[in-house]
Amino acid sequence: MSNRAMLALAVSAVLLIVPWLLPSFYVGIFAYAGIYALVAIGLVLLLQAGQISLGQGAFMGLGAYGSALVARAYGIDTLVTLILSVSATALVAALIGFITLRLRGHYLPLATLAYGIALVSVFTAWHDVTGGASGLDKIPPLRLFGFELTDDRLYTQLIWIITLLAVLGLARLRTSRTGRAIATLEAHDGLAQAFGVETTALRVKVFVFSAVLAALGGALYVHLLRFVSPSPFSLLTSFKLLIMAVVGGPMSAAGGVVGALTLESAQWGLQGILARWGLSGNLEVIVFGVILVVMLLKWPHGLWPAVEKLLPQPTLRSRAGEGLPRTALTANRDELLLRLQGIGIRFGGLQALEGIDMELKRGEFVGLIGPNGAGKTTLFSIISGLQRQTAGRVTLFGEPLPAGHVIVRRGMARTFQHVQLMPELSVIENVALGAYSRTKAGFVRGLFALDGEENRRALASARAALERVGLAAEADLAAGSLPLGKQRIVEIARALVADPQILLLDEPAAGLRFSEKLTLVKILRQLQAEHVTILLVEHDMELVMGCVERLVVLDRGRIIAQGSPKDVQADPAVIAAYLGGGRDKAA
Amino acid sequence: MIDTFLFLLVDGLTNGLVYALLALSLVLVFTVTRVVNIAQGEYVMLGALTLADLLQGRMPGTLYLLIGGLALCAVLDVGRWRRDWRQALLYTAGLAATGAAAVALTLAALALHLPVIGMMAVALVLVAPLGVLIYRFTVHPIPNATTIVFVIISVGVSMSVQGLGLLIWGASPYPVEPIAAGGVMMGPVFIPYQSFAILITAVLAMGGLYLFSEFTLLGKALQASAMNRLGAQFCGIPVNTTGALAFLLAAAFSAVSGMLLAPLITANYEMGFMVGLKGFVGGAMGGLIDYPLSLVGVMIVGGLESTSAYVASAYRDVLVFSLLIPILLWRNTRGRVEAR
Amino acid sequence: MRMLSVVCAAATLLASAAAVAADKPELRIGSVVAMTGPASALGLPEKNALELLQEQLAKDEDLPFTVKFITYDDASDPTKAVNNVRKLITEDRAHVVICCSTTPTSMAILETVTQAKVPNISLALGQSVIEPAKERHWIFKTPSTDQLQVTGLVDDMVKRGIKKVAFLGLEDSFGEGGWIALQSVAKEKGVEIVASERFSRTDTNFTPQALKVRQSNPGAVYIHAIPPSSALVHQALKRVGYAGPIYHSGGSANNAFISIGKQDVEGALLGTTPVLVYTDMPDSNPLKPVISKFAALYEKRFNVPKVDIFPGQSWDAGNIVLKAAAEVVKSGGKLDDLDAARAALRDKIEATKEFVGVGGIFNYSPTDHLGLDHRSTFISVVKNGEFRLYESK
Repeated sequence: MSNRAMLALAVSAVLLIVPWLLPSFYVGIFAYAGIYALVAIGLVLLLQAGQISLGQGAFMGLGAYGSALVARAYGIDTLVTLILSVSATALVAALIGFITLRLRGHYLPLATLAYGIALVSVFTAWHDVTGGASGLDKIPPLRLFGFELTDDRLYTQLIWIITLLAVLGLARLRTSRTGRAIATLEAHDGLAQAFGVETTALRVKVFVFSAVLAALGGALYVHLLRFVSPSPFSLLTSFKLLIMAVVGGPMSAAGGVVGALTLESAQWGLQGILARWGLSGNLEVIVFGVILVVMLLKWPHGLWPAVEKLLPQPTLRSRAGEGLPRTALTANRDELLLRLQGIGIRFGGLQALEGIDMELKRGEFVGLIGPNGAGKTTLFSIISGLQRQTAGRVTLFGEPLPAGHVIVRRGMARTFQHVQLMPELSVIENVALGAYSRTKAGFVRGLFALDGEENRRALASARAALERVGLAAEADLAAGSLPLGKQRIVEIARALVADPQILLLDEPAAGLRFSEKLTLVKILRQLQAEHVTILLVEHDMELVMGCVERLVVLDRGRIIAQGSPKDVQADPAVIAAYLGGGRDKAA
Repeated sequence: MIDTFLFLLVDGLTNGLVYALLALSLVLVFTVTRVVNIAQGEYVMLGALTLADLLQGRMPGTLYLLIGGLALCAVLDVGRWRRDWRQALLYTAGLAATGAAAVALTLAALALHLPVIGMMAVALVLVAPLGVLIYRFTVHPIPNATTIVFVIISVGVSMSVQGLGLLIWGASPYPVEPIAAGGVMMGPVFIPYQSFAILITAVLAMGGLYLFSEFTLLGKALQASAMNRLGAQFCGIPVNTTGALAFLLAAAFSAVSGMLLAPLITANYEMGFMVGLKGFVGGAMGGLIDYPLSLVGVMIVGGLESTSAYVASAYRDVLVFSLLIPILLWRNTRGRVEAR
Repeated sequence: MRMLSVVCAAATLLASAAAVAADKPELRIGSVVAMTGPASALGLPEKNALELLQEQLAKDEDLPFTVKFITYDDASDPTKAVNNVRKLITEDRAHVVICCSTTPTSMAILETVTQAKVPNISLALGQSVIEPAKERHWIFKTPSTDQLQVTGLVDDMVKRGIKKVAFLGLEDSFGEGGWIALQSVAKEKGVEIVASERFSRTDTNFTPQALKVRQSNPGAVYIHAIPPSSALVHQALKRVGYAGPIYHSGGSANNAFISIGKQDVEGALLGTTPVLVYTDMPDSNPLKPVISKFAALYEKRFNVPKVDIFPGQSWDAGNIVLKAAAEVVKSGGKLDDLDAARAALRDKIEATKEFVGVGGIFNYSPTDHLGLDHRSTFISVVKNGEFRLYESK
């Protein structure tokens, strides 16, 4: 067992023994800290997926009221009511998520705010059922298999066992296939789609999971307090949870735990200190607010990263052995892979592309060039499914071009003009994302560590791809720490892991130094030798002329020339397009 | 039926306007600094309570906040003494002079028994600089932090300022005199003159801010410093000054909003939060970047509120916020949306 | 500022405690009130009264024990209330707990004080806090119930021949208590409720609800809220054209109501505790001297023009505890034996008879842990900008 795992085990053991060592008043606080930690962990996952939620308090409330009301009214075993209310909340969350997760920018947090307030208002207004603002007492305690959990200490242990399991699960999820996909959700939507991630579905899954944790926290809360009322699930609580997640560190599930413990102990410690001086009440709130501001000024990324620096490195996931199976590529040069017929696209009044007819045969190495503003990138995004043309057809392997996230499964992978790597993930993890469409392990398998075999193979493929492009030594470095040239090559490795028949490269040489360009050309020639079909967009004429077999030249949205590099170089229309007028190109 | 509908329409619009100045403040702060200022509502409270104190002939508790803040500025700047003691001395002297001037102004105003408008101006002078101070303490040190960090920091500021409000003024409500008492009956609805004052101020403010940001160089500079901080600096735009300026103006607008609102509902320490929230909702309808749309947004919020309060008052929050979601979905598919 | 006076008070207490002989047993009174949060308008005055009591006791050398007050803030949140009460019981070893300011928080701590067998005096208005009496062995309360106050008002409505009433109340637990009370009392007295509208403390507009109420044509309107909203709702009602009688709860029984409502609240009828109208009482009424003394002390100490109903609630609670404690010590009980002292205190509190407090005359019994009757509820009317005793009583 690695050092880090042993440390984690030790800390967990301490947290589980603590309830038996503390005086009874502190046990209560520790219990509630555990509940908040559980909910904060779900919120951390949401933040990793790029969603700010101000409605987690409401989901806690749904879980709490659901379990409390049913158990109180019908005397059903609370284990059953707990499961029922958490499931019901998951359904509600799925519905809400499906409706609201398409919202962009500020609209999403605003929507979470909206239903956060709306749901809690229902608790207050529906007096006859929920007891209204005054609440309901006589909520039964938690009963597990006939055993009533009234001992606070045991209950606290149960809470922390659940919370620690959640941390474990989420830590595991982060290094799994789904975890890699989740990391793309915040700012790399195009990347996600290009490698087969169904972003909306994944967002909903993350959302539902966080709601489940919140509902579970709420139900545990209400069977501990044995009293339910709307105020603990208000907007203020949602803010409090957000504070815990951000102060603790939104990059890791452990951050949720750290945030919850820090905030709760700060609050209670403050009360104790101030009470000793005879001051209390709103002075607490003032000092607390100041402490919060100061903490974030000092640690804008949260406390966990600072803590993590002191910890031993975590073990890396295994990437040994055989990778995923690779399709053998034939050398049949006549097979038509990609066909564009009459492609055109219009943006408002601007006709950006018109009448584009192009073909890509197997094994070809084709370059797409043209002056700035010619429409190369637009054409590229149409081919890779990120944009839809307004006229014409695209045919891939004989069938019409499918939806964005399906394209990679058909065998076409791409790189990006602006490098789209997740800087905090390691190089090999970034590359492993390329295997997303070839693997199946989902959210649940990632959470419960049932994906070991498949993950190993995906990582093995990634390792093999890195070896192929000569970056095996950099496998475990943070992707953001590499120079641009190597980052572009990592992107190529990632595309290769998708086992593509067609490789789309969007300006791979942009910003590269001369030696890096040489490496790039070497890799491209190697790929060509392995019968990979390549379509390349580039500005660097020397590089392009030296590698490709055929060129397609665009100018102002139309193809003005197609042919071998020598022919195109001599074509007067091409010269005119680049230089404007009939001047000779410098040799 | 029609009567009631017209009633609710007028009532809703009038009350939506209450949040207008706040929505404008939020948009101003966001477009210049990319900070979503949850604490903006607290300036509403400070403006209202300062005015309440002044009108009652008391030295406003706000002076404690102002002087305390200036002192904290001096303390934070203490590192400069070693490097350049002349500058540091000048700076501290400037801070002290500001504090003294504020106290002197207040004393003069109280002695002269200025009318409501005059006292509003004095209150404005006392509250607006607090915006600059908050900027100095919370945004200036970490200009490149993410949006979420700024959100949490502003929550912390909101907690502290509200707590300080409770400490200084207590929990009881303070009545405030309106600029002009009484009102007019427009059909079945009674509209206080104060509401007209709010309407005029909101429209003028919106118009002013819109023209300023779209048509003046300084306005464009303010926006530039938010869109690309480094780039703006290369263009010679003093980004720290623009940020402080935005916070100053926003605090001023919010304070005025509080002073205009207080005669209608009294001033008290917790009035800021709800007004801030509703203003945020209105402003967010315009993506937090569009002044005229923010105005429309708050009208929609006001209209929804009045209608829900009439139809089912116990469930009005449920109705207002649930109906918000379809509106957001509709806005999402139409207008341009700024990245978070 | 208040901070300074708190420090001074603490210093005074320390000094006097040192002066007092160290061999007197110590009575520890723990309290949890809402100093922050939505109920701070209730909790802060309650805390003030406890502070005042503490200062008054410091001057009293005749007490057979020293008194220590420990006060915490629950921020109007049930979880915090429970945790703080636990702290008082286990860490601070309080003999008695005074908690809490609102009904939900008081309900949340029921289990805790019952299991720990600690007597608790609640400052909440809800009836459910002390009923059913069988299950509330350890819990008492000092504020009059909504039930009692509303009964007095509805009786007046019936006397005027009013058959239909409309309800306008806060949507929090305070308003809810009023709604529950009105529903049961109206049913009992045969009055029909024709409209029920709710609003929130922080609302900026009350006209839609007022319009709906007026359109339901009630004979009377009952507003259950605290200023500023209670005054503003009253104003809104007048402005939409309602001209009938408007009743209020004890929540409006303070100066803020009149200074906010001004001319518009003339003629408002309030169900209230004696605190509001003691000056109009005949000198023979035993409540008058007790309230006069308290009002003078409180108004001077906290610089308010007129004391409202909330501080009296904690003042009475504290004094009931002191009286019970004095009796325990007199009959030979030991305050140092915590469990026995707590049980003895509970018994003595329950045996309180004809205790003249600020909120009324208390008579606890095993079946009645509120102990107030019609002698403690009054109706006040706003006349010429002042609260006057209403003749109908």
